[in-house]
Amino acid sequence: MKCEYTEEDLILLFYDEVDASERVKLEAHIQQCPACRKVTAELDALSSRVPRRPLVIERLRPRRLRMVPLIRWASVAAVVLLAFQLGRMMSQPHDTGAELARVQDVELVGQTGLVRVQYDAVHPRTTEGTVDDADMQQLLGQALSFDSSPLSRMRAARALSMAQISPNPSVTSALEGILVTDPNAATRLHAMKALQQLHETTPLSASLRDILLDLVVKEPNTAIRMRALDTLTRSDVASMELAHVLEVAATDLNPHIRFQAESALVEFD
Amino acid sequence: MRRRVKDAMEANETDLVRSAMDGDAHAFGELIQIYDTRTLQIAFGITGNMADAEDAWQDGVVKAYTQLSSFRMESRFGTWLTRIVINQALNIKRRRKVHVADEGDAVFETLPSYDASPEDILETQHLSDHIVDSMEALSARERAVFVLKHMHGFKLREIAVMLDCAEGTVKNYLFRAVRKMRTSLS
Repeated sequence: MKCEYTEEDLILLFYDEVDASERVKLEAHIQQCPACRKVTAELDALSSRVPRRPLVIERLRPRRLRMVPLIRWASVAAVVLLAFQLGRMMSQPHDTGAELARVQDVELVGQTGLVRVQYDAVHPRTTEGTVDDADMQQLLGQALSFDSSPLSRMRAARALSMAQISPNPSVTSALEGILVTDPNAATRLHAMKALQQLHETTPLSASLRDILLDLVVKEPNTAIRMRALDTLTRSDVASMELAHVLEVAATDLNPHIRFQAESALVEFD
Repeated sequence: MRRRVKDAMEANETDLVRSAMDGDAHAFGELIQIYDTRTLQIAFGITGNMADAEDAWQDGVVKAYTQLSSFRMESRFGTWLTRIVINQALNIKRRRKVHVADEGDAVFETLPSYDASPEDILETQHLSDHIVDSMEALSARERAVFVLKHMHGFKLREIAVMLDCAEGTVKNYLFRAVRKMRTSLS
């Protein structure tokens, strides 16, 4: 019996480029046709050999340094995640002094520096105020800590990046958690900006320092790596660990980071 | 809900594009940051080595900045930027007849998981080298289509926009690329 379908049809099916009715027909046909089953199996085998996901780029750096940051990263990530979860538990409604249950939405009001936060109490509520207000920052910290939508997290982090942040452990802990865990690079970048600004005047905490050391090596986003390195080199804490990270950063893809790292290494010497 | 988030993110991106077109370099920087990983990964997939991918990416970003006034907002900014970076990568690939990266370079690498054993890492490295060799059999355009479709999951119509050619042409590149990859990996 002659097969009515071609290899091209099967490739289009494999890559989800056929409409629903055609898919049903093709899949039924494949069950009956050994030749088409063989091609389909070969396409599946191709996917197992060449994974269907973007290539993970590891920046150029000497092989001998490769696994060290990975191991350290794992432990730091675990600590930060734990702190992040603890922060979430500590900031449950009964602890806030308000009847806050969950932040639903965060909105920046144009370029005014005002931010509008919608949250659930007994009933949904909306409050508005300046981002420099400590209570508002607490609320934005909640938006980072609770299971908010990705957009709310991004806006909350952006609002905090524009604020004069008052020292507040729950807000800084939430920002650090976002910096390590949020899948959206823009949200991580805003959190980085907020923390960078906060630490222009206050010394780096040990937890943030460890996070930054790992970000310089591991973070895929160039702007975040740049800011992490900048914050570290301004902190004036010279250590072998920092020297090690600077050596790696001196091989970074980005010329500014390489220059920044090399300059800092010269000062080390 | 997901659509609402997507719409809001697109609106945010549109604001950034408008600001960038009005000369706000910071807004342009934010736009580039949104897409830097993706565009660099694609350039890396096409050129096959990090040095060329970096060149293609940087050339593409500079070109996007200087040609921003020609962006008509008929597509997403990311699609337009990706198209520019792809063109730069294809140009470099054509010019240099790219080499397979030597042992000292970063080649196609999959980051080992934190608990990966040394054997797993060796396995990953071996697999990656094999993929590099197999993709060398593809032409630059076949390689671009394969990377965009197989690894990044773009729709054929999106790839057609990025490569500035007909969807049928993209299909043909994909068919050829898949055949070659099946042959060389079998």
